[in-house]
Amino acid sequence: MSTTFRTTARRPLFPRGPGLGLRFFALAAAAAALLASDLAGSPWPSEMRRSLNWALQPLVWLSALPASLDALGEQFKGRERLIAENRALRARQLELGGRLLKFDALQAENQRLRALLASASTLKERVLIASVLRTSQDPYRQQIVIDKGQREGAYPGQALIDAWGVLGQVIEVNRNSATALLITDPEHGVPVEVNRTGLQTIALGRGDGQTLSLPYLPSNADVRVGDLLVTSGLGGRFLAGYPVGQVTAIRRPAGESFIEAIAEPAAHLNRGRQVLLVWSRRAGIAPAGAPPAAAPAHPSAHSAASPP
Amino acid sequence: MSGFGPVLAYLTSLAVALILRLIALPEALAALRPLWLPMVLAYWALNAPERPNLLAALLLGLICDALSDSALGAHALAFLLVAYASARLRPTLALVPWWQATLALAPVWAGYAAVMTGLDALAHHPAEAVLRWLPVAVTTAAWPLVCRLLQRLAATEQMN
Repeated sequence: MSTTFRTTARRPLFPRGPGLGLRFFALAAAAAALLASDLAGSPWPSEMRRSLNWALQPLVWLSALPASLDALGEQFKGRERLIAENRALRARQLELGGRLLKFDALQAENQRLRALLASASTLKERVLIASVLRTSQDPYRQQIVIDKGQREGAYPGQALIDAWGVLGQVIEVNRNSATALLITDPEHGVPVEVNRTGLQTIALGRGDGQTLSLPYLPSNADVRVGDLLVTSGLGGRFLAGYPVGQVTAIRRPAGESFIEAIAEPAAHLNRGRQVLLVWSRRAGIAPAGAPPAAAPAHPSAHSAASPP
Repeated sequence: MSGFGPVLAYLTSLAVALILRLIALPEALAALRPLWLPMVLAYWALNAPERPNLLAALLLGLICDALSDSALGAHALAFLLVAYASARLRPTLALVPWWQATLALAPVWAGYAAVMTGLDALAHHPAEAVLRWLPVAVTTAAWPLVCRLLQRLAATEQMN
């Protein structure tokens, strides 16, 4: 066999049209232009690719046919084998379902931690994440116990926040746990300022676990429903600028020359398991063993929230 | 050469080559997959130069690009080069025995692999060298067989 190629039956002596080289260069230039514009990231080649892909779906289906035929063979498996497989899968499903139950809780916890971390990064203060060990069962004392104490450097009077606002302050430090008073406790006061006007006052807990009171405001004080209360930083215990709550009502006690504003705490009290301990700059100067100076119950003693 | 039969053989061979290229293979075998489309394109460029082989190369290349998610035009360019090189080799290969033709076509497959490797690098999507170059050897080995099969196909179509 001298040659594998047939000679063409019809070969024009004078071929018409562009020659092979010219045709090749034209088509190659087209392909190269397409390639260049695709590599440069222009949108229309990807549009073209999408349309081509859509048009070629039957081909893809056809080329996947052998695999489908293989899968068809699976249908003729033994009954025993299928039953065994079913049993194994059921057991596996139960196991995985059990694990999944935990995942939901973990996911929620992760989200809370992330929220806390985000708030920490925006505050740029030294913070430490603590977990809530237990909350007070006594309805008149809004306290929580956290899992960080003396060992971690917690100190009485340390501010406690969560991702949404001020939560309270530490009143008692143990070796590796600490008790904190929530801002809704009637014994707690936090120096605040009305964000809109800069009005300085003190927010006291009302003891119902849900609201704060801004008592003894002058009757001409500019406070409105919806005003945001932030920590003023006075007293040095809480750093300035943390949200504390939002005014929800203004009360004008009959026959009195002052008004009282009621606010809802911004922090999610009793709703999270993670809180942030914040170190204020003055705490480094003050002795760590200083007596706890949470605001006393009596609202007249405003000095409780002022610098120690 | 004109008529419905040869055209059918032409289109069938290209379509079968495309499907053989797309068929899912076990991973161990996938590296050994011959370059079906370059082979069929080269066969037609060598045996039927009056056919729109370059256009077929371009279109099939674009189809491969769309389906394999490579940069649009990469396969088209490489297929065009194969078709063109085969067409240029036609006068030479017509005079030599089949095994010499097989060896003479090996550089064409190697050129295809080299172009694809270069375009991969250009698209910052490097493939493993073995996956690019092993098919060159497999294609060289498969060429005489594929060539004979295509000749048989063309002959039966012509008889019909």
